[in-house]
Amino acid sequence: MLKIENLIKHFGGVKAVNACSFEIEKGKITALIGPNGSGKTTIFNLISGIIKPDQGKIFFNGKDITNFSVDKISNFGISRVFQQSRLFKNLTVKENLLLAIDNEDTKLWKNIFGLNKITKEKKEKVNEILKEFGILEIENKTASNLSFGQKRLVELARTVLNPHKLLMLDEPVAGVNPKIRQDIAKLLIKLKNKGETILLIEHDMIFTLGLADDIIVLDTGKVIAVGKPNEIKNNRLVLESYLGN
Amino acid sequence: MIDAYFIHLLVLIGIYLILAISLQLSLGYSGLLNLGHIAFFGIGAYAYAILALGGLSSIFCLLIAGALAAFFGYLLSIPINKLKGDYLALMSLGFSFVVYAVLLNWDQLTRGPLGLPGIPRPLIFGFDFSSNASFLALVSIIALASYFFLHRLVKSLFGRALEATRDDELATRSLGKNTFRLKSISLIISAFFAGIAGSLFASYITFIDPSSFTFVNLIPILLIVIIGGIASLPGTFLATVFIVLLPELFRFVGLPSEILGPVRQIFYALTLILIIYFKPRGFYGKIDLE
Amino acid sequence: MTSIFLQLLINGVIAGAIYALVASGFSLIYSTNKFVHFAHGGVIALSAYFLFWLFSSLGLNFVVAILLTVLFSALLGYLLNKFFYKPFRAKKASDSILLVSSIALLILLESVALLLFGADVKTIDLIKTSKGIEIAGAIITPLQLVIVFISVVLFFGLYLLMKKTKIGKAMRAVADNKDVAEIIGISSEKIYSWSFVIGSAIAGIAAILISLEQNITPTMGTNLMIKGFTGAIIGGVGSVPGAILGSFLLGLVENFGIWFLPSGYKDAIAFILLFAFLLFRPQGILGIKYNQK
Repeated sequence: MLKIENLIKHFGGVKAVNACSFEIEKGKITALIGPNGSGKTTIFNLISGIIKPDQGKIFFNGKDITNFSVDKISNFGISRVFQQSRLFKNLTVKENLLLAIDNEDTKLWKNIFGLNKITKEKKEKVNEILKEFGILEIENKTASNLSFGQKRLVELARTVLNPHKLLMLDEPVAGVNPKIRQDIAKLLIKLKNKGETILLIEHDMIFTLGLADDIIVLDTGKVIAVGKPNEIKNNRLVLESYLGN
Repeated sequence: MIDAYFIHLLVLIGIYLILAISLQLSLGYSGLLNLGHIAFFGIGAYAYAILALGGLSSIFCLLIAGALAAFFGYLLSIPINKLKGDYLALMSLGFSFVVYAVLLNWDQLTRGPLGLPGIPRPLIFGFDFSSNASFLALVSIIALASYFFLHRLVKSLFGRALEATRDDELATRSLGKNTFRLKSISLIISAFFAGIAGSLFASYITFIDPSSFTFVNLIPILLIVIIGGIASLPGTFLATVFIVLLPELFRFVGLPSEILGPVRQIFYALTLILIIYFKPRGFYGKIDLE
Repeated sequence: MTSIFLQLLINGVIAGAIYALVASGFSLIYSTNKFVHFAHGGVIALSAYFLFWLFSSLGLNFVVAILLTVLFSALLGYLLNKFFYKPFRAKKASDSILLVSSIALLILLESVALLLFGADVKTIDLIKTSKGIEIAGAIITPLQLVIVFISVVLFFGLYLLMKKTKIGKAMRAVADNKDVAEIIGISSEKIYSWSFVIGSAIAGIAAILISLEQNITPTMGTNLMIKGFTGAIIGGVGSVPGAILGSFLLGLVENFGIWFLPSGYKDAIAFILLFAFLLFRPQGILGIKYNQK
């Protein structure tokens, strides 16, 4: 589904991503792990179009998306959760989610003439996902007034609601309490069982090893190991790269 | 006597309301710190004046003036699209300087510092708006229509998309929305209404010169938008009334007319500073100015 | 033909010197504090009026008057930092907020000047119309020579200050990296204060020279600030030498520009250059980036 080929990205004199290549299989949960500074978020930024690689290509479902803009990539089917909270802080949870459903809201005249109403279906979609995530009660709260864990859940909900073929999650459970961590793990498994494809970055090893089908390990911008959780757990190179740091 | 004065104030409120809500769209809802907004006001005023003095029918003058201002809004949106914060502010400020310089120097078109006198009051479908009372009716209708249009815009999901762009542009793009286009449209519409306000201003005062369109003149409008509250149209309305009426009190305190001008400026500048410092949310805004 | 060229060159250098005086003080403050202190123009305007009040209204000795004026401008800068900007900084105000409030402050200061002194143009009648000195067909007045001379001395002095003195080095350290500077024991608050004192003192000197060469109007601050800011952006606003360089360039381009365009367009040239540089090369010629914190 997603294939990156020989991606290279420099920042100043540093090679953040150094001839990185890997493939993501459809319908699986793939985890991208590695010590701090190994280039994981940079790769995410390259894939979602926020930065452009110096060299290399990115293919999504066969299409070369290397030079697409951020919004084009999203419309091509990649939805992303960021490491820091990127909710629309002055809008309510409901509004945050409504915006994710489609892009009819960018059509001026349609909206002025009332042809893009907040229909029953849209409201139901929002309600459904809020229920699934267990946060129905905060529907009308302004995003800035949410707790950290609630924010993460809303962001995840918003990303899932956004039409997509691939979900990219950057540290979805970093900093959340154990209960929410469990909730999110359950949600991700539910999503996978529905046939979703997920690529995630996480530092929490227990969370990752218990959840992921495939694991890709990065160190200083290179892929040093790929495999199933069991294999990775015992991989000498991986242990060295983590312990060595 | 009092009536005429009162009508005059209401006309000003109407004109400034249109100008203020247009700024509220681009600044409050879309998060664009457009310090050059007064340029659109000026472009609309001059376009209307030149066309009206040339004998063109009033409705066309009004629409063309608005369209011309909107076009400049589009032009400004091109460089501004990739900028943020104070850099965007400075760019737009620079834009208003350029417009001012052109208004001041393109003598053949604008008569430069001499200004354009004798701008006719609108004549629409045979109805002459030369009395201030009738002009007030015209302004009220246009102000109402503008307010209604913008109200529909900001309440819709399009308005939400603008607010999302303001709150987090990257996240908005990550949802697949073309934020450059959203911002452009916001500037274009905002400029259009500023141009309409400028046209009404020109035909009301019947004389315009470049000095009404320097960035200093933006201060009261900026003040209105902030005091009323970021992203609040009703707040903008109340603030317009307040900001237009309050300095008139200085008149009644018996201040000589030469110092009325600077006193008003001091009032605007000082109030702006105080509101930014103490209450950047304004009175009806949901968010702080940033 | 060469005499016209020479005259334009001279006019350009004089204009450039004036802009550079404005820009250097402003740029010193900008590079240290990292925001646009638009009200710098207000400091210039009020200092000019202060000089007028001391010399023309009170009749003080000219030398005493100019010394007091420089003290006044330095003090005004100090007070503005302490009672205006510092509270905003304490509230973690964004650069945009500081910019808008600084613009409001500029208007406030100029309105106060307008209120106290009226809108009519004031002049400092120190030097009665003196005969210009002729150089190869071009004319330069002694005052203009003095302006260029003083500005060059000032810039050299600034250079020495920034490179050789403790304060100067501390200012550069804070300009480069405030956090690291604090770690090695430099109090950034103190340095901010000093940058305002020195920058505003330069504004005072600028005000004196401009009042003598031109005249005093309530909007002189805004006009000069726009020109000075443009010069700074052209050269590279984050560096004082850049601001000075850019200002001289601006002065030259303006004056040579009106060889081709009607003279009213002089200001338009500056605005267009400002807009163009902000658009295409915000880091200016010297490439000192317009800082975005």
